[in-house]
Amino acid sequence: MAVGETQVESGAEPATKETETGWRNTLRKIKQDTTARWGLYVITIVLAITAYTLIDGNLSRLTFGAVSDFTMAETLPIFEHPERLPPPGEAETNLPPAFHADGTMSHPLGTDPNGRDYFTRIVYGAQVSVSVGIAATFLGLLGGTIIGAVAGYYGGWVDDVLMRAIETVYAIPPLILIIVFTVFVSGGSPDVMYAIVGVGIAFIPVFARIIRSEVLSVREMDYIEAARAAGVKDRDIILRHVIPNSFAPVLVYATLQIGVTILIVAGISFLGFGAQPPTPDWGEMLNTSHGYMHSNVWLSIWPGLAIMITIMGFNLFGDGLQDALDPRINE
Amino acid sequence: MVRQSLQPTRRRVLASGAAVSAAAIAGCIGEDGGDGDGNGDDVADISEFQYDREEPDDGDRSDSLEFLQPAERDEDFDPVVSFDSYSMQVANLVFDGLYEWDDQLELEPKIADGMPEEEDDGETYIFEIQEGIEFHNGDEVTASDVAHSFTAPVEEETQNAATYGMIESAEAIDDYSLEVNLEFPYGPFTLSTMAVPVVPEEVRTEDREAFNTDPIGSGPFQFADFQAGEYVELERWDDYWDDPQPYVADIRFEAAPDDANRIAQVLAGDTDVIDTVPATEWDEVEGADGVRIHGSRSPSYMYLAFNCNEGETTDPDVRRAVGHSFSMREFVNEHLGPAADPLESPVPPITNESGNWDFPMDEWEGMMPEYDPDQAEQLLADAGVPDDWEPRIIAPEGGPREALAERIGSRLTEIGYGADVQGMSFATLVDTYNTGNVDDYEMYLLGWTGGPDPDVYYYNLFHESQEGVAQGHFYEGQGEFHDNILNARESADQEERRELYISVTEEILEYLPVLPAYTEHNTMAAREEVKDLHAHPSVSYNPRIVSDYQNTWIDE
Amino acid sequence: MGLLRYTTYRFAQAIPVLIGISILTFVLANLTPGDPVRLMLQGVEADQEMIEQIEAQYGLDRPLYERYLDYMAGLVQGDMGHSFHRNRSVSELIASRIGPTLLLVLSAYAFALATSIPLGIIAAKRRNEPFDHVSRIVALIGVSTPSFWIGIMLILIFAVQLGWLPSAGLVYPWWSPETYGHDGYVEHFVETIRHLLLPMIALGTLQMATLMRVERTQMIESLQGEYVKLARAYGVPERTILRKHAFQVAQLPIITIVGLNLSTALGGAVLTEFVFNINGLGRLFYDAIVQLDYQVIMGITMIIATMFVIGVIITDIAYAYIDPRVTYGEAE
Repeated sequence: MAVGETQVESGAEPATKETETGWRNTLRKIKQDTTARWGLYVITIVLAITAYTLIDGNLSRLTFGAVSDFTMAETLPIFEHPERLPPPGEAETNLPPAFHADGTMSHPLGTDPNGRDYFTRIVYGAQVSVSVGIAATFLGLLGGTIIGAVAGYYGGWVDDVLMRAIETVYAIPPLILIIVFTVFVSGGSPDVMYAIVGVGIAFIPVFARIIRSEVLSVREMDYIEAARAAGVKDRDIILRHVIPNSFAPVLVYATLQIGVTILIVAGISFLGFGAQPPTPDWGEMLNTSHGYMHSNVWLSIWPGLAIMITIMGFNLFGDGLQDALDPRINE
Repeated sequence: MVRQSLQPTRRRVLASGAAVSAAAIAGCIGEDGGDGDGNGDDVADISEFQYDREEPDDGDRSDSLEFLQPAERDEDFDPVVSFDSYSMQVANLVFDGLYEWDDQLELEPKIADGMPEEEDDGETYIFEIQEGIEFHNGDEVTASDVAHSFTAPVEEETQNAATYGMIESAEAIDDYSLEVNLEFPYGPFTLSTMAVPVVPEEVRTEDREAFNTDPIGSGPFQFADFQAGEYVELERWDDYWDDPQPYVADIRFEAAPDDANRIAQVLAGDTDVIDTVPATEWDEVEGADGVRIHGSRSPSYMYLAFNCNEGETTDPDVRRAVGHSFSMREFVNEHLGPAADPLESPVPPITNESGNWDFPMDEWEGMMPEYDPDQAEQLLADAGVPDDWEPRIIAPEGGPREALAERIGSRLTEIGYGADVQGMSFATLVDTYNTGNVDDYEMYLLGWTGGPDPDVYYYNLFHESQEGVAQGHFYEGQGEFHDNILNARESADQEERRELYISVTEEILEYLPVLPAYTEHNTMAAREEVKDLHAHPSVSYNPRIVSDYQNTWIDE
Repeated sequence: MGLLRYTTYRFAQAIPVLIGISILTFVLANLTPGDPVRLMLQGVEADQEMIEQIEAQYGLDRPLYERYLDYMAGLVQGDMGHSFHRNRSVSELIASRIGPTLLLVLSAYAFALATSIPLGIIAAKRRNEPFDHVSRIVALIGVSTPSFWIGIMLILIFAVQLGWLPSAGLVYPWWSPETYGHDGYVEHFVETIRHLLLPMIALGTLQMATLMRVERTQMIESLQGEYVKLARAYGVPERTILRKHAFQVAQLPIITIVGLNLSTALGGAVLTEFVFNINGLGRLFYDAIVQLDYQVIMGITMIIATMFVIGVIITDIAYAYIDPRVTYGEAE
């Protein structure tokens, strides 16, 4: 690993300068790569929307997944309130998109069965879908990093026990594990918060394995030996030296994994075990619109496209990142 | 043993819920449609049954029919044991009833020869049965088979025990007459209990387990093939005793619980008939080429119940305020459209009519709270409800009841309060809605499917003995409330019962432990080639296939 | 180590994992705030005595580890408990539902392998040509689209709109043609395939896309390898290079991916079976979750995890068998 080798020369102190150059180099390569650049564009847009809806949604009430009473969205002409229902008798339900003969420009993507603007709901759906994807991946990354680093650093029976535990979790397909976890822990009334924790647990194994194998190679480096000889505590060695220097491949993996997470959470919400209505979430919207599959197919098409484009963004970016970090394939 | 004796109550709640949740938005039709010109695109009038009677030109009797059920069967085909509507859909074609419900949910004799003789002020009934009726194995149907059919559910403590629990004894007088003694004059006996499917005592008691999955009855169809969890196939019994003889040669039952998939199958022509058309897809199915919707009113009753045991909703004014805060009628029209009608009392219209109750439905309609957010706000403020009140509303996940819960929640938000709406899987809901605990719920949305007798609704859903069992509102009642329900149940005098039910209903509408919501219709969607098919008001009688006023066939 | 010993070793290694899975599912199932007794009663008003009686009857009054040991003792004998909702034994239920799931997953794999390998090779060969770009975009869409959404769209287009293919269910080849009213085995076979096509594509697309991406990368890498360069220098024809030298080496990672991706395929089967109304394990799992039928949930989780573990072992052995370089000592 290129990053690791530079550390050898700089001794016990990790060479932040060298690492930075590595990062800058990576970024430069991403900028040159067309696919990665497109991925970056998509991710930036999606993240900007997510950030906006997150801030907006949590302005007056800090409840994850619930859009608050006040939203800035309503002050903009293109948005309506993502959750509130139209007054009795004024609802225009199940309108088709604007390009359809019966559609109107005021609802570019039509309206849902409750008469809410579908465009607003798709945009606000990013709040839950994307942030859940990121939060859950982060949780898996955190758990996986700790477990992988400890297992790899200590080796021996610690490694054996942790790795057997990891294999156990890994053996249960994520979708199944997350549903079982969500339903049992919530006592039968699932919600998106349980799903995040469930996804986090389900993805610990993949990250733990990568970190562990990286740690195994870093562990033998001279500067780690030196630190140990100098009496630095194990915990500090792991946190300050081992993890930072094993992180690059994990980051690539995490980017790709965000896409996988969004995909799985969409499946869980589609079955009704994730986000609950009226929260706008793409998977949940696909669940609700499944009941209108024949009468209004647009309700199923838009959330599906939103999921697809978002995940494509993360995949493109992850691919580019991988190419930039992996010298094996040359253009 | 414990489990056995517990089962009935649990299953009753479950089964009706399952039927209801599966029948999710079952529906029909409304006032338009049904001009009966037979071009197949329009929908029949829900209150009409005998439309488009057609006979095949060639008298072909080799048709096969596939029927898709909206939920999985429990695979209990012995009517003594069976407690789910979808196993009973199969069983009702294999067995004949002593009496059977007609297209308007009135009982007419089938195996019985005329109406029973009533003695001892409704504590004893004498039945005569027709001679020469044979089971599929060639044995004659005798009075002792009928007696066994009446008493077996209680003797064997099956899930149906509660339905026949008031029967003290049933004994054959001779081969073709029997006497049934009741413990007390049971009001609903002549309107519903006598519709018992008749099973062959000898074959059944020989091996009950085998009989349950390979039943023998005296009905127009006999069991041909069966794979648990997959399909049931029935074939016509050519020595059927009654007229008319069916045109359909065999019927295959399969289940497709996912609404979208079930509809895809009928739209694509992969199946002949599907049970239950959800309101969400109504227009699409109605407008589709080659598919026709059939519907009938049904004795289903959906309601919003309040926790009168704990919390803010113990105050009748708070309950009334919730009633004013949203528009039930608007919700039903918008969300359920032709698939349901709004209700003003716990008595669905078809129950009122088929039982000849003549209840003052118009008057009751006037007692329902109207949509009036200002008054709702005022009532809540006067009742001293805290500003941050967010009642927990629980409802079955997916479908119109969860949508209704969300609707109530969002209307409460508009007048400055809020709601914690929780859609639950049926298993969880059944575990939650009757605890009386304010942390579990302050309102719940559920349903009940009954029949032509109001007792089914009033006793199970309002009587104090059902607190924490079938009802979770724990309404204490003013004065005689609970006595009235019990007295109406244990009386055979219909005029007296009618008065008691009116007084009970008026109290319900005044104190609102429960807000009646709507009644869902029974619906089917069939390929146009399927002729002379009609939806029956009772879920378990569909597909009716053959009766005095229907003989389904397929126009190849 | 010989192949046989390696096989034995891998299976022996799986035992602690399987035990771990049983502990995990058991603990999860007993985390439920609504304990099993309440779930069993489901709304019945029960007094304390009744609850205790049921607890005693099912041994729920004993400590968790004792109950776990009981459960394990049952598992070893093939007894996975009892479905409270369906009143049947869990083993019996699973046995009746495992066939359709296996049929679905295996055909999805067949579809994925049959499409991804040729497409991946051609894309690698014609790198940066239009074919490569198109197939990369297809692969990208494939890994980015929810399988159930693909399923819904396939049903709407090919079953409802065009009417070409059936919209639901499977035809089981192991049942006789008469069960379905088919005339002979030819029609039976054709119907089996017709019913399989849409769910197979829905479930297999993700696998196809993943494998295609791996195949392309591997082929590009091995085409750049020293080995191939040498062959080229010696004037070996390009077709022979592709078929003999580059291809074989590139297939090894595919085998590993096939095994590991069984995890997503088995999970995806839950969604596919839901959308296509297939009576398999996934559908049973969904129903059991909705009904909180916890012994069924535990049983299916165990079976699916076991299927995954066995799948991985089989691919490991296949890898070892095909790759002469593997000395069977590697644990992972």
